[in-house]
Amino acid sequence: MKNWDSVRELLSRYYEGETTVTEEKNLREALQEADLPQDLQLEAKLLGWQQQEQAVKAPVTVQEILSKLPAEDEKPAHKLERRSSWPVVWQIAAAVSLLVLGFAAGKLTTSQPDAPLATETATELTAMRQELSSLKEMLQNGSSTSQRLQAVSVASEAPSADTELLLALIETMHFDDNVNVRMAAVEALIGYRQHPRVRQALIHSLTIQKDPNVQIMLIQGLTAMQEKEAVPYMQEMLRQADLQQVVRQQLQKSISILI
Amino acid sequence: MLADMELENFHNKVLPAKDRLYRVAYWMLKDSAEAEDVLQEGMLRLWLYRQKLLLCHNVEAFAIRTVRNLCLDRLKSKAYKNRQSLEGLEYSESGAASPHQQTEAANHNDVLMRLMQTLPEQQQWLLRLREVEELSYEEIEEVTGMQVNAIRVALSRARKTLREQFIKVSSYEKLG
Repeated sequence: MKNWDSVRELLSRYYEGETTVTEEKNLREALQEADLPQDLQLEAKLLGWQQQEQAVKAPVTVQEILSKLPAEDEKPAHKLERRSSWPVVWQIAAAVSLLVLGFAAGKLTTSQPDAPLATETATELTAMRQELSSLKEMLQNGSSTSQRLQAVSVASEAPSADTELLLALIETMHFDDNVNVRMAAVEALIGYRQHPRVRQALIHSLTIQKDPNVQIMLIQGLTAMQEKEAVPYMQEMLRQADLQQVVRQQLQKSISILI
Repeated sequence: MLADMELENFHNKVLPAKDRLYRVAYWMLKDSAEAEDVLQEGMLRLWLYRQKLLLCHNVEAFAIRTVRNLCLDRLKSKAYKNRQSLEGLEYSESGAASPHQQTEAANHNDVLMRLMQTLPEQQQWLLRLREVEELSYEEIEEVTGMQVNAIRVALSRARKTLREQFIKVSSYEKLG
């Protein structure tokens, strides 16, 4: 003869989430009994479903699992086939930044190959000024893509960008024919984000750019800058019918972050 | 010496959890082949972590969390979403297959499983971890990151809701 009242008491604590795992096991066992009172039969059904679920077992044996693991001293060999879904955009971004870095490094090592270590600051500054003006020239009129790309990368390294250089960069970002040059310009300008004019230009460029790579770079840059003013423009972009799916996703993500 | 301990730890704590890990994966992915795949991937990951697992005071909870994260990754990946939309209909009637159960029991279990799917996801999780996997509150805390008190409250709510809904459905069926 079972003490059903104690079962009922256990049950009410079960519904309050106050029973332990062991108590719950005992409770389920008690509810299995054949001479269960009417009121507890419903409870037996309610608490019994887990048995069916527990009956689900892994269709592989421990041996099979072990046989597929690498030998003990082997180095991790995973991640081979995974991660292939890495957005192409990121791969391109990485490639471009490498390119830019390479150019910058090249410029750094070749421009002053044998300048004496103790060059005076003044002459450096003059050189810098000259370089800046030739930079602007090159940005606007550079004949080859690589020349312009190089100009952008150097401009991004310039310690003190004057308004004119920034304007040249902005124009490059908006209107250069080459995607890579435009992307490099975006990156360079993000570096000058403390200038209000640059922020404005980056936002404005959202409405100009048509290439998804540049669009995404802009959106990510503006998001990282927490530029809330960009949100209306981003929402406007979402309305474009021919927008690429990746860009759309990035926009939705960024808007939700910024708002 | 250390390697021995790692090996022993893996054999005693991780491998025996395989059914549990599989169930969690199957429940999340609704596909036995995918679940099996995730189980193996999870095991591989835990195997690579085996040194760290020695420091982990609840290996099983950690293992479940690992598998859960792998499943979430998979569910998020686009390819999987597309797949699922094609197969989505198939699951609803299958429940968890277990032909040896009595038909009557299977019947109300199916009703319960269906009702459970209408609960908030968090409550479904808690029911899985508690009722099926029989984890303690501390272990559930490890898996979900929820606080023990919040677990208790949400679990209690889930159990009560399930009961109410079940009574409602049963009474309809009697009337019909």
